[in-house]
Amino acid sequence: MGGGYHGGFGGGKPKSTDFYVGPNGQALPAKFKHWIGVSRRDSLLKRTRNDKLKNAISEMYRRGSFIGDGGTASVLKFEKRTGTLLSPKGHYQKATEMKRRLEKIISKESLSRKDRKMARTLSKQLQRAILEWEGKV
Amino acid sequence: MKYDELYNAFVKRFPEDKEVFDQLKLDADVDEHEDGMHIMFGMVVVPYIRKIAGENPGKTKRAFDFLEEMVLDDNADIGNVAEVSVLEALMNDEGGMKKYMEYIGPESLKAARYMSQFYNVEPF
Repeated sequence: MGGGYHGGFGGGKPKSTDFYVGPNGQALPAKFKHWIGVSRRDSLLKRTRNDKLKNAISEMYRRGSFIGDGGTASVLKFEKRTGTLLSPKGHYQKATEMKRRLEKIISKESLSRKDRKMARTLSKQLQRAILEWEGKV
Repeated sequence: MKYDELYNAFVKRFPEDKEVFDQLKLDADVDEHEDGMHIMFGMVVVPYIRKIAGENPGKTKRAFDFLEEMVLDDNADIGNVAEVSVLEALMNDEGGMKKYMEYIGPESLKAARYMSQFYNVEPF
């Protein structure tokens, strides 16, 4: 991350910066600049074989997402740490349901070793974000 | 509306498409009794809306009217499903929300526009 562009609004010389454009062209208020990341969506989908796991990844990693690694876990951490919700009520509820979905895939699907490892990693990432949201870590 | 019955309430608005929903559920291997409403709406309702959007304006309007009801519901968890698992998904599709502008309700549009600042999506 980093290497982006600071800019301001209004006429004349701005006294402070208002927004930050990351190297990937995404803009957020400057105070959130460290949250602009590169989405792992394409790389995760490319490496996954199981269709249900792919479907879950598509749900967690939206095409245009750029907060952190682009996934629901990053979004939930962003919401907790900045107090800024990406939607009016945030992503906690979705994160808990997606974690349950991943657990179901892990227990029911015949996954390759790589897919199983990936599903477990994604589940753990969600779990950590959920616990942080709940103030348990 | 009751949270746990949201999916069934949506499906009831389209009695003529019961078999379509059953097939979408089978394809995604999801079940409203096991999976949460974010999963049901993300993996069944969103593909259904994508399907009907190009085929049937009347049904598309009915779907967005239901989403508007969800967004306006007193239970914020219900609106959250519409916002996070439907509108957020649709705005991230190729072509974004533009193809839904004639159907989307005012509160849904407001929520979608708020969310769009955090995604690389086409302005709408």
